[in-house]
Amino acid sequence: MRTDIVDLYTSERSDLVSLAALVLGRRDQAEDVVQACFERYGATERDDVRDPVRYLRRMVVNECRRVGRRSAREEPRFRIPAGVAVDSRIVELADTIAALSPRRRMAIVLRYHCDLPVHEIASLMGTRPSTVSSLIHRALHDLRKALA
Amino acid sequence: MTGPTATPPIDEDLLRTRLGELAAILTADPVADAADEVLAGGHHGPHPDGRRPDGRRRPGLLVAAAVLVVVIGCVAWAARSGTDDATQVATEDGTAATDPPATTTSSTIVLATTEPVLPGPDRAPGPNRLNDVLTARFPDWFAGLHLDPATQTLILLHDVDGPAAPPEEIDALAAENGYGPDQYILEEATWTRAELMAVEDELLAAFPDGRIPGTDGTITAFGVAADRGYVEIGVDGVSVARAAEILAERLPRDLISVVEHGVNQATPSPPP
Repeated sequence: MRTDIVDLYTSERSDLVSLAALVLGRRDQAEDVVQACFERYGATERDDVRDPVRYLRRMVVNECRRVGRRSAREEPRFRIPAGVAVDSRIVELADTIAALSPRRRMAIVLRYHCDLPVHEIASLMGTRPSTVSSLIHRALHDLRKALA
Repeated sequence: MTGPTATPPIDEDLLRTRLGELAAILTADPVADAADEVLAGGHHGPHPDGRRPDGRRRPGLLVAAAVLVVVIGCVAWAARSGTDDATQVATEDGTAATDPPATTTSSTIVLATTEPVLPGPDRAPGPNRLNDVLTARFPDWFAGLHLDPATQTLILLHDVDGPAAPPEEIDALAAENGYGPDQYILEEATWTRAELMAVEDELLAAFPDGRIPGTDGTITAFGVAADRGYVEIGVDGVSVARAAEILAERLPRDLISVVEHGVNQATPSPPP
């Protein structure tokens, strides 16, 4: 039982932190979110969990929603670490993604960063696939200028 | 004559690449990375077993191992204390048996109204006016209202994260608009005022006077069904089917649900 969470932590933590960082815009919050999820995951009856990665990803999505709601009034949303050289195109993308609604941002990150299919994203976000398609479609419209 | 200009498709591969770069930047640790670079003696690229070329472990792995110890400690503590936040959800077909519960479970919120919601500068006393007043007075606290048609109880929704509003002032404003202390209740909204305002902005842009073009119908209510991922729009004076057809020309069809919302449905009870 101990081994499975160690393996999961080693193999999945980095991807989950990236997911949370793109949604929340901050490394510190992203790491806290993932850490909290691993702690809660460790406290569950994991024998019943058929797909631990999917389970953890959903925990992270839910936790990002909760944290994002609490920090919605904080600015700036995306914090580039000091000392990191950043291309202006990446800054523009970060600004555009930060301006997206939380649901659109989540849908875009899950689709184009995590490469998940629409039906999987719908399941993670607790909504319908058609709604996810709409969220992605509208987010892409907003992102078009940043990718020109 | 000019026709609509075709919009070129977005470069999805470029978006993937840039998102990856942004994620790497957001999660970068310049200090640790620089130290790693020095310790690695200028060699680049991962060692097959994750160690440096000289066989020593990377500091990052040691840090991860240390964090793991903390995780396992917390797990043991949580197990002893019986914590089980991530309760399993079971469904009839068992497909969701491995999913943790969603944290957002808001219900459909419909703004009670007896007149078009958009726009409404000078309303008579009633739920719409109360909505306007509370919005102006407590923009960071008030998140919307709706009227329970069965009990005629007014439900005032407030943002859980907003600063608390003085109860006596809520009482006074509610009374001014026909609702005594026993005729309204407060509930926490699980969506934010900002989300609702974003919806309202879109509706205002598409239907600035609240009227449905080509019909006698008006938009009389709207609300966010966050858990279902769509906006519910109440209409009056036009069939739901016709309204849906017209609304869908300007709003994303997948994001809206049109419902009948007769003016009598939301008439408040008389003042005490």
